[in-house]
Amino acid sequence: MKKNNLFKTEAFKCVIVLFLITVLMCGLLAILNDVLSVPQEERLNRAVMKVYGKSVEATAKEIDPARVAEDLGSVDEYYAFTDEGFSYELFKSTGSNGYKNGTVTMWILIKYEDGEAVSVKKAVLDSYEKQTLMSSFGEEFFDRYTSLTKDQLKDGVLFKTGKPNIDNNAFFDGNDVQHAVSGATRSSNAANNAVNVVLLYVWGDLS
Amino acid sequence: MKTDFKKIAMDGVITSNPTFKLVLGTCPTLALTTLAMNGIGMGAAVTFVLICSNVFISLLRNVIPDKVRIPAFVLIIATFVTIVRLVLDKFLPSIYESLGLYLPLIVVNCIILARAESFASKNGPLASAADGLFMGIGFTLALTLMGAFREILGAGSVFGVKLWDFKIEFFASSAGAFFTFGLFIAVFGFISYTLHTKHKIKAYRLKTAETAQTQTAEEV
Repeated sequence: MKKNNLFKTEAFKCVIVLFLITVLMCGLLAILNDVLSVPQEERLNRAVMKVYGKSVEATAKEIDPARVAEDLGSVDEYYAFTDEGFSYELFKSTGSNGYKNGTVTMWILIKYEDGEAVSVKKAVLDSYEKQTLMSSFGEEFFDRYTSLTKDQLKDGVLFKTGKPNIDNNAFFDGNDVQHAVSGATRSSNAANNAVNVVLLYVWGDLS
Repeated sequence: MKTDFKKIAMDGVITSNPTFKLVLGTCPTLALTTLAMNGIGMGAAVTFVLICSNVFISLLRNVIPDKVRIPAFVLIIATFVTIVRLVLDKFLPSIYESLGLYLPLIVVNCIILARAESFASKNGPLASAADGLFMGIGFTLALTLMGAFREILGAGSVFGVKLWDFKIEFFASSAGAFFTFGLFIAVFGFISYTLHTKHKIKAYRLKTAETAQTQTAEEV
């Protein structure tokens, strides 16, 4: 095919038009993204409001990769703040090994007293992947993570994961566990792991 | 050719209502109508995308080759859906969160692609904008009505305002969504059929009266 003919073909016109539309749309999105993107501080503020219920100034802390139990999930974000004389640490963590190897991402708030972590103050769902049943889990499901006493936590708690036991709806296949949060599906495995990865990060190796 | 805006409005809201008559956009209709507010949020997002994509496609209709029109339309629609996401995330984060996955899925909403293909690619930008607006209003009204119905019966509240403690949880479930959708299609079909029949009878009577008048005049 001659060079001149190539430019006159319909295929060439199609490619050029699609290319130009793509460039135009990309330009438009680039400009609007600059104007409309939500800053990181605003996102953090929203997360704190969602988990803690009021606006406080939190500072980002560096995540120590050595303390993250990678077989359970990951610690994605880590913040600290003080309010009314108490210190808090806020984690965004992703738990793995859910249904179809999906994940659950949660915000976990740890409360400190006298420099010591004493409780899971709040656990809030952020997002999930392949865990369609997570949307039907109500607040009571996540509130169970906060129901444990200081002593139980100090003993070293990991929330059990594994196949659900039909008799009492609790999980029995976990290791290094003293207490369980029950759940009806594999989706809760990933949620439990999101909490476990934070507990391990805070208290270290619990085995 | 003069644009008949009244017809476009009637088509969008009643005659060709995208939800109840064309049965398009069923996925968000079933999934998001647990609350009336979700209906308004989703409807507003779809209306914005419909108007903008219709206008853009209409402006470019003579430039886009026929063979690549679908990818070009999807590209344009996806851009405006991304803009809606950015706007909602920035200014209305609660609605952004409640719409969740269904917001990016507007890209593959049949209503938008159908209007781009059947209307915007054949008409001027003004008529296309009007079509997008009224189709969007029709979709919003449908979702809001269904959402209010399911919220009242399924949660005992409307637009988040508690009405009573009585609730039938079936209406908040997926099965309740299908039931409500079917019920609304039937009711809407009955109303539009009745209106259409009345309109036809009126037109027939007018025509008969005119014919009779003409005959009388001729006889005189």
